[in-house]
Amino acid sequence: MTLLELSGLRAGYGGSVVLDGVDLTVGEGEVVALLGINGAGKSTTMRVITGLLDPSGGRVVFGGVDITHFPAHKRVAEGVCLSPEGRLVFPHLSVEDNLYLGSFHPRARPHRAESLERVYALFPILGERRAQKAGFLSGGEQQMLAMARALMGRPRLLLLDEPSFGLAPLILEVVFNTIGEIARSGISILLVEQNAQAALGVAERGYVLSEGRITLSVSAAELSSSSDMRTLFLREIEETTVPAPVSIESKPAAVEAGLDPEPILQIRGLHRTFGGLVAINNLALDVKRHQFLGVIGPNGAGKTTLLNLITGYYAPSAGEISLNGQRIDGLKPYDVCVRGVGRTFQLVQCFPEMSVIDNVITGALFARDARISLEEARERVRRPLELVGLERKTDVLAGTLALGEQKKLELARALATQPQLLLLDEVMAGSPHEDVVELMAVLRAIHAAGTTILMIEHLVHVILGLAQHIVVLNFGEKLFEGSPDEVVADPKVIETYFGTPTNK
Amino acid sequence: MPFAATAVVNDWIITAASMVILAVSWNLAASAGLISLGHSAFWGVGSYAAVLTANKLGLPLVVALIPAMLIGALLGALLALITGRLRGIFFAIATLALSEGLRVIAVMTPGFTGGGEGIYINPELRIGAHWVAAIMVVGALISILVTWMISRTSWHFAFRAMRANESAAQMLGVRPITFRVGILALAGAMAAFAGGVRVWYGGFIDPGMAFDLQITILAQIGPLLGGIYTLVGPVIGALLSVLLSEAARIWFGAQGFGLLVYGVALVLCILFLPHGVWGGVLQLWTYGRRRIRGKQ
Repeated sequence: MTLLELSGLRAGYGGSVVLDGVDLTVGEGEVVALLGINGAGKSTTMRVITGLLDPSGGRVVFGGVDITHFPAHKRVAEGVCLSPEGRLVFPHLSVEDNLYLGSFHPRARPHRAESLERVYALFPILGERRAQKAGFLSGGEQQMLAMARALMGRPRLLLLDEPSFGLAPLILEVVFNTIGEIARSGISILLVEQNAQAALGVAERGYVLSEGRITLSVSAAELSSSSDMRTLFLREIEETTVPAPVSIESKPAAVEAGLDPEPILQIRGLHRTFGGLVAINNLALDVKRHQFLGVIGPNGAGKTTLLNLITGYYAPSAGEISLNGQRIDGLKPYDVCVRGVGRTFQLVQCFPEMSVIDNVITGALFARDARISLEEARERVRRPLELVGLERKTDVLAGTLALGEQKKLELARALATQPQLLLLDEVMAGSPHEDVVELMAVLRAIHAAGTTILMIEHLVHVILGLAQHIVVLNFGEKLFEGSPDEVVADPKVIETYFGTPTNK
Repeated sequence: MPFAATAVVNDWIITAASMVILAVSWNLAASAGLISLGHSAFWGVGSYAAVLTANKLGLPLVVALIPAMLIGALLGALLALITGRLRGIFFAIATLALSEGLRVIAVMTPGFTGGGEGIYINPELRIGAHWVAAIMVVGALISILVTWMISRTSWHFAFRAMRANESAAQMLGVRPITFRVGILALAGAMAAFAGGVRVWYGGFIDPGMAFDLQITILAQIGPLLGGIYTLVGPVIGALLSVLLSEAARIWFGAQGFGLLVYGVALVLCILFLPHGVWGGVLQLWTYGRRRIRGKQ
């Protein structure tokens, strides 16, 4: 029986049309994947189903009731619950209070205790951290909280928008197993996901959305084998060895042979606690000049905290951080930037009301002690914008870009600061397979041009394909470091991070 | 002078031009994410600085405006330094407290400010209302010119970035405190100028008038009505708000009902033109262009 039916759905923002007649159904107890490139309209579809955006045409029918113009809270009461893109947990509330809010409506409230028990069984880490403020959770843990919060509403239809965002491989497996379990308990699921392989592993059917229309609607098995799909979305194992563009050597021989022995970044005895919780514990780390360093580790290992410590967003509780031999711990982010460090953020932080080009110009204008003119800045941002492939969207407002594009914009903005050391926090997240391959080539080019890169990434094939050296963090400590080959062979790393032995 | 035909016209011009200055000044701070609920503080210190220096030293208006603007700028810079990283509602409350604190100080220091009884400008220093109007108009034009010039510099980028996300802006090398001090000093000087000129028109100032909450509210109505964060919006909004309030007063009399109509008109405008009158005009313009392009 059909639970959700979208017919001829049209919607957009301001004057622009994003959905141009979408037809889609989700059956009772069915798992359906909604796939498509960035900007295809997937998140917009989710917004219309949940009532956060009013459609300009078409109908949304849920359980036989026309809910097209129901306000959002009434839809939740009907059983439509969303785990949104970008998590949107309430950072100042405790984990348990976040979950309580998930069961706010009268239909779910009487079952609160029972639901709570169930989500803690699904996500034990949330049970352990129930009293902590959600803002202190790591990115991956927040993702779990967002899903758990949606489940607290006793959904008949669970909408998951990019549930794999920011998840370590081990947890990714757990989460997708959990999605399977949820589905088996009779809840219908509509899944938006860039990790098509994972999505099609649990989904029965899939739709491909392109330019606001459904262009393909088939069973998951057919979708996986369809040749278009393979080239467009699926992450294949061969990718590990994607050849770099001819002009760029993936690991320049000169650099490989003689990495400057003097590290560009030197970290000693670094320590940081948050309200009794140790996030970084006595960490020592060297980043050599011209190195491409990968940092991996389970969710909550302290990877993003490390970047926040380097860039001055957090002050270390103890320890030293030196850049080019000069101490930078205790400096403010703007001073760290002026000394030649650029970064992107795990959750995108572009300036939504500014155009794409103005975002990047801001990066070019202030990053050096010597100010440059606006004309010069305008000239300088052309190259970064071309590199990330946004040169044709320069006048678009940043806030209207899809998540993956905003990530690229942040990369361009960081590049415009002309950093010696570039820190990347899951810059590939939210990008479909095709873009990931392109972005890998871009990062190789940036590295070959002399920029030192420190990259946090959960896409295993990306980090193994790019990094010369990998550091594995766990509980804020260095668990292991070595070459990519050594990392994938280490039993400790396999156990804590990859989950299953990997030959990728 | 042709525009000085009647006292009423002078009154309109002075009110309208001072509203434009206040709106432009408030909008300038708001464009960097600094929402002020204490613009009367700048206006008030401007009024007092102009009157006190003039009376002590026998300065004419144009000269007395220099200390007024300096004090206004100093107060703005000081506010930026004291409030540090306070943002949003916390910054707004701090500005409200500043204005209220200054009012109390003005009441408590009668030897200096005349206290609650207020203070008169030395009658010999007063000038004709048409001169006051002319100076206020020149001030309004200069304040518009200044914000236009700023909009063509790198400051424009820093302001918008700070408004959107001050934390992320820092990673691009934007040092927020520099811009906060700069923008609040400038906004403070503008509002203090308006306060200084206005007191010459009335000839009298007391703490209640100088640090009146209504000044703060009027400063925001212009940008909200005309189009916040834009160059033209605050100017249109300020003129429109004066027009509305005068029209309501003339048609319905000074009391009660006129104010009600004025209030309703404002609320309707804000409700149905969320980006202000100027935003509505721009929207109509793009809509029209799209229609024309569609027909071709």
